[in-house]
Amino acid sequence: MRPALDPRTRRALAIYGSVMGLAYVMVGLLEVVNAFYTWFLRPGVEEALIALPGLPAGDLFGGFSSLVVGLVLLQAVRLWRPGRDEDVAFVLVGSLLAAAFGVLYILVFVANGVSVLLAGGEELAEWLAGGWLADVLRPEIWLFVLVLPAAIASWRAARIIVGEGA
Amino acid sequence: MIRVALIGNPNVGKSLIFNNLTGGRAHVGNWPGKTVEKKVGKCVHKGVEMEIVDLPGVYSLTARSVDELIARDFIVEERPDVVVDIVDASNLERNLYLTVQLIELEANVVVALNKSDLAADMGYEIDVGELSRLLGVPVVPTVATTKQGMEELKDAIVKAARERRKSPLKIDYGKRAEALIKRLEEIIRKDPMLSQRYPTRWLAVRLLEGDEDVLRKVRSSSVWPEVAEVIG
Amino acid sequence: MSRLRAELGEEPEAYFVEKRYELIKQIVSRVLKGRRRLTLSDLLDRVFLHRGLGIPIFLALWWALFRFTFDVSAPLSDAIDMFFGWLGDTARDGIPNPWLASFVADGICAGFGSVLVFIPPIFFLFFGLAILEDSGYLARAAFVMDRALYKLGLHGRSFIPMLLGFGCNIPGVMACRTIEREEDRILTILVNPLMSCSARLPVYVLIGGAVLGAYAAAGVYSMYILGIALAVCMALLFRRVIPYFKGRRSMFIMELPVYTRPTLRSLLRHMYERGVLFLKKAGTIIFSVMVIVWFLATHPWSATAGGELVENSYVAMLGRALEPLVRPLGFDWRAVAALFFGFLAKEIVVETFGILLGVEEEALTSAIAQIFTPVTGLAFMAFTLIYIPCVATIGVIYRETNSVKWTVFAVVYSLLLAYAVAFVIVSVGHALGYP
Repeated sequence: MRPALDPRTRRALAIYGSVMGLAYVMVGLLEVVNAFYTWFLRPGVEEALIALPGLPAGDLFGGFSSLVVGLVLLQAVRLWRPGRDEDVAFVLVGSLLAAAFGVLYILVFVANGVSVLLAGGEELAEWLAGGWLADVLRPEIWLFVLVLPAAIASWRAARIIVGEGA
Repeated sequence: MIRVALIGNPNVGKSLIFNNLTGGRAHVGNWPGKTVEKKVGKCVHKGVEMEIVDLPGVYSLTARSVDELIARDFIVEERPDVVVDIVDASNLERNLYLTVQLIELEANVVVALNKSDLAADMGYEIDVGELSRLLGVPVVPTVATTKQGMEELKDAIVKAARERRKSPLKIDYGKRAEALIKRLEEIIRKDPMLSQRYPTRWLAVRLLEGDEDVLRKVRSSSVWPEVAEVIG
Repeated sequence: MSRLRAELGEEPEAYFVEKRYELIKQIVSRVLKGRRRLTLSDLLDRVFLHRGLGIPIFLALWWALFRFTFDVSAPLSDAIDMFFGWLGDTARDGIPNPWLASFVADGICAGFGSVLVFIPPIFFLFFGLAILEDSGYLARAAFVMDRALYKLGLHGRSFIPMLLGFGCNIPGVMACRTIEREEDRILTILVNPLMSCSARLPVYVLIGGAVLGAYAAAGVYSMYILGIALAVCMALLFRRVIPYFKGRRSMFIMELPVYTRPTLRSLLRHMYERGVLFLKKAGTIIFSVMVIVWFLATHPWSATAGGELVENSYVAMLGRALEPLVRPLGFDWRAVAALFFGFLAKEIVVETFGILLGVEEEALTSAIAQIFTPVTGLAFMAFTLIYIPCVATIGVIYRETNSVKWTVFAVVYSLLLAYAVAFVIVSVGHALGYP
């Protein structure tokens, strides 16, 4: 008999996973809408359609990626009812993807910082004035931080299922 | 002296078994006209001398790649006394595809069920006797890395060479296909050049599958027009 | 054969294969007991190989790789660019002899600079790719894309070479070695150059930024998509029209390795191995070409007054000679000269514009806007995307196909296709009322 997951663990993962999934899906949709607006409908307009701090104005593929992460995490709903324990993989992989993008956007923030430091002058001043905040407030960075507990929990659950210890 | 051919999917442990059987001494060359390596070794078991040829690792015996053609041509033209098919026990379904094709080719098959230890570790249990019964050929479990089963394998090879049993396994391709196969077989039998060289049922099936190499072989036969009419 | 298909209800070959597997499944079900123990890899594959999510996951990760390659490496490229700019200026001011000064500043520094500026993205790309490969994920991506690629006339194994092609077509073409069937391999090699390599990006950014205004981002991305779309079309077209390519693709069977945590050492090693290969191949060529371009652009020395009046140089003469060919596309002599040198190495195109327009980096954008309109600019970008892969790539194509015939074919078809697509863009643009 394969070691099974405690139903309470399943439900906890189901809730946490799908809530985070929903968050990512919403962020993704907002970013995609923004991108469509700035690229195709009203190019050249400085203001994004949806101007939340940190939300990029023209990142279509980034938005799409967040949508994907969200869709994967949403599969956690399968864990609400008794069923296949392997479904924890959705939370695990979802958090892995979230981590990939979280780390990526942190790196981008650092890279932008170094770039403007090198360029100096006007660019640097502009960035220090407000540009850096937009980079650091990128939603995917903070969602990644929030997802970390789910990552650890699903990793532990996965090891139980595979039989490598609690 | 009996001539033995070793065949199997890539990465099933064929080289290891070849070394186990031949003691690691092999004559290495190339298959005629190709850049693929050909290894030939010798083995003596209970007074019987065996020449062992290592065929390229292939997943099937269609005409699609150089490796497959080399393997297939060797079996069809050279007609080795025994063909040892090395099957990866941890990957049974995919490996048996080649086995089934060998049986269709009417080769004298002995199956070496390798990596039995790995399969057991993975939680599998394989009924070797039943497998042998269903396939109609001897099946010998082996663990090449620890040389388990080597003696039994050599026994099986010698026995198979002596008995020359043809596996009774026949794949039922369905009513329509079987009717077409039967018609083609009748036509093929009219040409002794074909019917004596190749197993007729195998030839018929390959013609229906559109095997390019087989088509080329049959095109030069006198019965080609009739064949062409059947396959369309 | 079509009659057989009607009789059997499907492609004859598929039919027989299926029947064999039916029998095998029956045998296995009676012979195999016990269930395979679940491994961590199985768990992960539940998601990565998922029918619906598998491909979107890959696309998302690919996008992350892209961003990582270009945006995170940018400061390093900037630093290198600035360094060589500074070096060039110092040389120009410091060396008394004007000829030598020009040679060192505009020839060597600019030459070295333009090559070295590409090291960061290339190495970052190979590092990222190494993560995907060593972890075992890349095999899953190839597996998942195989079905899609098969329908598009390409082989599952074409996937990784195509992916590499986005960094540089040279490793992309070389990676085609893993494709067993000759016909599939050559087909993939032929369409690989349509994967927009990183050397073309500066051209898109420059031209797009100059004339497309706010649509610049969309314009740049559309080049990548255009490349992929054309690769698919060409693959399908070649399969249908050229008899050599007809016939079945080999089955795509791939061992899926176990997922493992990549070690930093192996990642760095892979990155280094592949990166160094690119550097050796491309570096020598690009550098020597830059020197040649410098020479042709500053000579005859007296006519150009020491490199100032580029209109009197050999390059200009070349450009003007070729200009009639490209006039229907709306390109002027500078554009065709840039394209000509772009043949030697795509990175050169931007440099050549800089030299020919006689301006520094910052002013280049407005200068470009003088010689291109949005429509002709877009056409130029498309031309750059499609036409002859650079000399280094041609060399690799020859080495991998071992055939003069196919290499020449690659060069010719890409030229013709580039011209045709650019022409269509210009025609449609004019028809819609744009200048």
